[in-house]
Amino acid sequence: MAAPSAPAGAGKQRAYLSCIRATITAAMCLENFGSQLVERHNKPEVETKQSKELLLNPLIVSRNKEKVLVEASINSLRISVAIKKSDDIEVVLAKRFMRFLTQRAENFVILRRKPVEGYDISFLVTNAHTERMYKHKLVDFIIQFMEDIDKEISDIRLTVNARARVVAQEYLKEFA
Amino acid sequence: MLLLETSNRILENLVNDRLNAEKFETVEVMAADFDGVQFHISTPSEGKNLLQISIQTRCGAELLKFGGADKLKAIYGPLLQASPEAGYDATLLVDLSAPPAGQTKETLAKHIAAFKRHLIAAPFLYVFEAMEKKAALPDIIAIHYRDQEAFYIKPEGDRVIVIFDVNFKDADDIVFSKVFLQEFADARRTISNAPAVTFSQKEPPLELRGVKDVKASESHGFISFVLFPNHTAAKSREKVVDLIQTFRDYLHYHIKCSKAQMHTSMRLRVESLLQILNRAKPEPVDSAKRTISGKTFKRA
Repeated sequence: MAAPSAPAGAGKQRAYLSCIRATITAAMCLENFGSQLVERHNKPEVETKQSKELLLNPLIVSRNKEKVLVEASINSLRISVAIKKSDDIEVVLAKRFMRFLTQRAENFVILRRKPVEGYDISFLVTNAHTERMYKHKLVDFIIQFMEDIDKEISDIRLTVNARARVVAQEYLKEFA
Repeated sequence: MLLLETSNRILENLVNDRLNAEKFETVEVMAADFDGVQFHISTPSEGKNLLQISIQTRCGAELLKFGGADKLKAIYGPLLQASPEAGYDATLLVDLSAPPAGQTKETLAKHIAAFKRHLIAAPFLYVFEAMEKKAALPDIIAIHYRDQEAFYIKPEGDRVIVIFDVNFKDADDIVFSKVFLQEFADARRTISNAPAVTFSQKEPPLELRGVKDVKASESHGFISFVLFPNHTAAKSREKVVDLIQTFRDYLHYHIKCSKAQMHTSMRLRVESLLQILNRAKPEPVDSAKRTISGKTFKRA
């Protein structure tokens, strides 16, 4: 139950995120599956897309400008996120922030270094990851990640605007 | 420390050190300042108690022509050398053992440190003073103080319009600058006496129509300041000139500061996300085991 003072958008945001959470939890049933084409190789099937029978239907969950693409296969899952950007400065901030994160992809294990075409950032979860880590916590992480990015971008934007105001005031008040 | 200083700290410290030192030593220092200005401080062959300070700017000829030569002579008097050192625009020669008339040991350092400030202030003061005396003025004065950038001073009736042509090497900077400049333009609502600020990207403003060499391209932004009579009046003009000569550097400095602030907050966010991710990893099982007879061994 949303508190009376919560903004109307918060309920919709929650519905959007819970839909994504359900989708990812359902898709995260991964098992080890060696490559059918090359002996002794084990590749994430969602990346190679060589055998049609190993791939599930891709699914897009979208809300206005922001959308999430979930592509699943037998041994891997790819989640791509397109962030909502309302104006020029948010475009710049989102681009910088995503570049910042993808450069640290090694630390983030499940992050993909290049986003899928048309999206801002992508995750690749393989059966190896689900064997080593708790599945429900992975899903938690991805949802938290999406919330945090939105919050961070609007925070940075507010600080830039505040700084601009202070800078302009300081400078021009000296003239008066 | 939001506003930039106009005097040069390096010069000030150097002159202070030399004045307070016990014996005179040879000095050979190259220093730089904003906008590609270079200083050369050396001890000339005539005597160890003398200190020679030369300044070189990209627009030296333009500055000296529009009031620079007169201004420097008026401020520095006998210190200014008639012909500057080779490759430099102006030279001062100071006798460290005897400060010149009107300066004490304490004020001399600051006096010398303002060398660049006085040189760049010259065309502005030239225009302000000529307007006050209603003397003849050229239509527009262009000073190309940086490689790709220039500023233009255009007197118009009782106002002066100063237009900055700023080059942004990074396309993202253009977006940041729009945010900053929008605030500058809007500040008039709260600060009544502020100069009017307008800006445009790529298209030069109407005042620059007909001026040659105006570089108009995607990466160039034009910012116009309209200075009213209360800004150009004698009692406020020195402060106004201080502020306006460092405007372009002020803008870029604060754009860079906000980028640095962004990076810091992004790093913090990355730390917190990594912590959340680490919760997904189960705790490593302690794998040291013992047998009945007491032998301990570790299992991988």
